[in-house]
Amino acid sequence: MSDEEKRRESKNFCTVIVICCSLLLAIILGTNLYENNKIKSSLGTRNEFLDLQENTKQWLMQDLELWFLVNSESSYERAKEKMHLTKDLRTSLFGKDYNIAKNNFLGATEVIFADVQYTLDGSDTVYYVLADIKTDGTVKVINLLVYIADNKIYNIVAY
Amino acid sequence: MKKSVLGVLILSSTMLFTGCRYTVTSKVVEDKVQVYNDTLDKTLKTYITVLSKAKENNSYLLDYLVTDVNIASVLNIKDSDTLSEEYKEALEINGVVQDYYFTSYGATGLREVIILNSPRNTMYATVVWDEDGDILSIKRVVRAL
Repeated sequence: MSDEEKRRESKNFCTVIVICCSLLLAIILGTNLYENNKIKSSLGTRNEFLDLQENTKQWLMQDLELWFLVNSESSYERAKEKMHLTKDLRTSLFGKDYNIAKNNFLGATEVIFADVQYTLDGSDTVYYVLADIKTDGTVKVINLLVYIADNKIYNIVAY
Repeated sequence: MKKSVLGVLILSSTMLFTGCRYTVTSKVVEDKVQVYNDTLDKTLKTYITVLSKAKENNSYLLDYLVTDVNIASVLNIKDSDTLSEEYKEALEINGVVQDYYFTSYGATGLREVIILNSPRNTMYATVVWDEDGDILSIKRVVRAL
């Protein structure tokens, strides 16, 4: 086999490899595009009826946990800043400055939410929260009614 | 030529083993969405059924909540606390309903939170309704105003 023939064979081989790889790429990209479109269309059929309440439920649990866990100035500042509260409720829950005796925080070490449900009838959204609060080895069961409007908590009733 | 072959090979390997390789198939997503929609539909239907039954029974439940005349046997409740003498005295019998809320239907059933006010006290009653519209439990807490 002459040098020229060898070169031509090698060139042909490389061309076949490039075509195969390009075809493979095209198949991969095509399949991905098809799958992504199908995923998007499937997600579009998801029932979103409770999404707002469920999203609110998520941040509400995070907020309440921050509040229950307040036991120092830094945790107080964090809860005061991050909780979704109306101005009035923020003042009544946290006061002006950190004062553990005056503001009466639970100072929990662990919070377990046993149940969080919400109203679906009526104009106000009221969340019922049942939580176990662990403090210094004791567990306290707490029932809360949390009133929410415009993504802000405007009243909390504990019993 | 060899460089272009190498380039294509590197590109395809990279695409295959990194970003371009999908981790969830559309079938899995479709099935998950279907299960979610079916569960939600079923839960909402149960909620509507239980809610209408709970509202039907609500008025006579309210009568028994305060008087506590053998409430468990009268209403066929599976689990109920008894209203202590201290609570009864605190509530002064003639409490009026300030508000009541029905929650969404959750794992424990539909909850009804009833707030009763008397001149000096407030009673918070949490009633749990099961999927047949029967009362599973009643818990009452009385707080001084």
